[in-house]
Amino acid sequence: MQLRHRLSNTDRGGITVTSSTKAVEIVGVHKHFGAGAHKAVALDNINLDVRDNEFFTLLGPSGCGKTTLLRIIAGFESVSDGDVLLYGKRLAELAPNKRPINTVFQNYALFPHFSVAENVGFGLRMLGKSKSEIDDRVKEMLRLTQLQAMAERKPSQLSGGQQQRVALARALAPAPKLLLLDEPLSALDLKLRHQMRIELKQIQQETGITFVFVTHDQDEALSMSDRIAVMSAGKLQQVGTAEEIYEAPRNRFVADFIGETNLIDADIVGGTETHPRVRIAGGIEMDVAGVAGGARSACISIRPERITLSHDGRLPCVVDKLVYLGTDTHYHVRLGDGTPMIVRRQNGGSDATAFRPGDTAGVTFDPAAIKVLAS
Amino acid sequence: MSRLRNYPGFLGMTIFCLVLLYAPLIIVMIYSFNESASITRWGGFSLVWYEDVFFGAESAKFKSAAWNSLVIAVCAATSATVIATLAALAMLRGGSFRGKSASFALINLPLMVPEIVTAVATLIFFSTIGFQRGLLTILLAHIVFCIPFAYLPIAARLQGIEAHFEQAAMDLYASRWQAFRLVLMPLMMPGIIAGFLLAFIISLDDFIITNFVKGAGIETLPTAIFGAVKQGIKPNIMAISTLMLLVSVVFVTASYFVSKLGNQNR
Repeated sequence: MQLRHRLSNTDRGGITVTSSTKAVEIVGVHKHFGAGAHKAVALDNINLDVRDNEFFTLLGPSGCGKTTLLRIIAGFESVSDGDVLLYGKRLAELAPNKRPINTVFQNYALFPHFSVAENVGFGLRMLGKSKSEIDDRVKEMLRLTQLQAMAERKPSQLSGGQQQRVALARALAPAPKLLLLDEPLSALDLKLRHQMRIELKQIQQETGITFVFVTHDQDEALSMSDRIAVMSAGKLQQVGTAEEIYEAPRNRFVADFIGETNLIDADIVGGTETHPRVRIAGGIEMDVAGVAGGARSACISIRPERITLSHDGRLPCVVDKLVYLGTDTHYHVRLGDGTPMIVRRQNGGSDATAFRPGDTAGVTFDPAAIKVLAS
Repeated sequence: MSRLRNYPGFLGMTIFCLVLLYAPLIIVMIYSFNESASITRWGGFSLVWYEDVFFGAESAKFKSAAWNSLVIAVCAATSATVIATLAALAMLRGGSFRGKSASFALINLPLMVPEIVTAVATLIFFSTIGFQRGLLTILLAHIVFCIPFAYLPIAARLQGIEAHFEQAAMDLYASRWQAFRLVLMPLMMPGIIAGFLLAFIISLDDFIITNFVKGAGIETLPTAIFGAVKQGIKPNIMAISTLMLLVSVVFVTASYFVSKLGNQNR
């Protein structure tokens, strides 16, 4: 069943892959709803591989098509064009109940008339496993999700976090080749959500099952994923590790959506196509890495934590306001030509040089902090 | 709501309506326990008319009528519930299909057509095709007009069940039939039971259509009571009416609680 692929020649988001088994291959998938004037494009030419044993996240704002893509993999939606392969096998011919794929639904969809144990054992029962086999597996799953004491309860007698675990145990019990998770943490409160992130990642590593996780929460995506696919308006924007996506966003959307950043229009005043020289805010010029493609101007991204604010900074600015955030403070400043910028400073240091609104100061940043974005 | 109470005359109007609706019922119930044979004069408390219903001269007639009513009500309600369940699944889970709104209108048509029109039309229909009138004609007619009463609570229940449950079942390797039998049907059950009880009581109560399509010599309880009343009202009619009222109240209450209980359990 598993196909060993040769050297992967796909190189997305700047990562080079030597060899890997592809769990899922999404090839030229289009999806539109309706027809004619009412035609709405949900997915526009998605090409994507998910590797074996990977925690893969589809990240994007609501309406970007990530849930549609998940439902296509699960079999609840069909593609308008393209193909989805699971370990080299075309999925289009398989009904949802024939796919070795299980789903954790956003609202869990636990069967309210079954006990926790019956819920967890449902998939195995449908597969026609023996009673003793089901019992053993259910016990194992309840142990994995720390629900041993809840086996006989009904879902309505559980807290939100426990229901979430039952949904996970139920989906893992038949040992699927692929687990799909549709925003499973969105109904939990913040503390529990943070705890479940760690648990989910742990369970994924322990079971060795490939996870495809859908979320609109960038923190969730960054903290758990081996790789992330950023989607917007039905299109794939970038695929890469958390670090790649955060540090080397490929376009304006990714830079803006992942984390906080300063997006500034800069003039390109020289250099080569791959190492352009940019002039920022009409002031300093810097040689930076990035593809300018011969354009005269480009949008650049500088993360707030990569900028230093000091009295002797290179680019003069005026402090507009400050936002205190506990661990750090965000300084909203304006450069000489009026360009706004956010600078992040960690609190709690020996901070002799705190700034007040109205103060004049200067910002400094390293050329390496600047990313030239494709528009 | 609380403002409504402040309108002048609201209390009086309410009491007037309640009296108009329920006073005759209460008087029938009280006089069913009357010792005397008069339907207007109180002669002391007694269960003699109940005894008359079960063991008196007319008891055989009433017993066979009651048996017919029960058999028809059970069969009609069962058939109507099955049809209504399938109809609800088609309407709410079948996606969009041609003639969907026409189907919806058709299912609910018996609620809107005056009963006497249905009765006459059904009678003409059976005569035209030469169908001999008897228990079967009553049953067929009852199934038809019971469908919307069974459909409404079932559809209401199904509407509240998210499609996620069936998808989750199919995601866990259940076939369509298993997803329905093991997941969707148990979740629909309160609606199905409520629909059955409602259809049962509607069938048990029906007079107009039954009276038109019944064969000679075949009586249901309502037509038997009507026949007896034509020969003069005796207190035993009040006893039977009281018993029927009791059955109706029990079933309607049960239907209400079943659907309410189901909603809480969700």
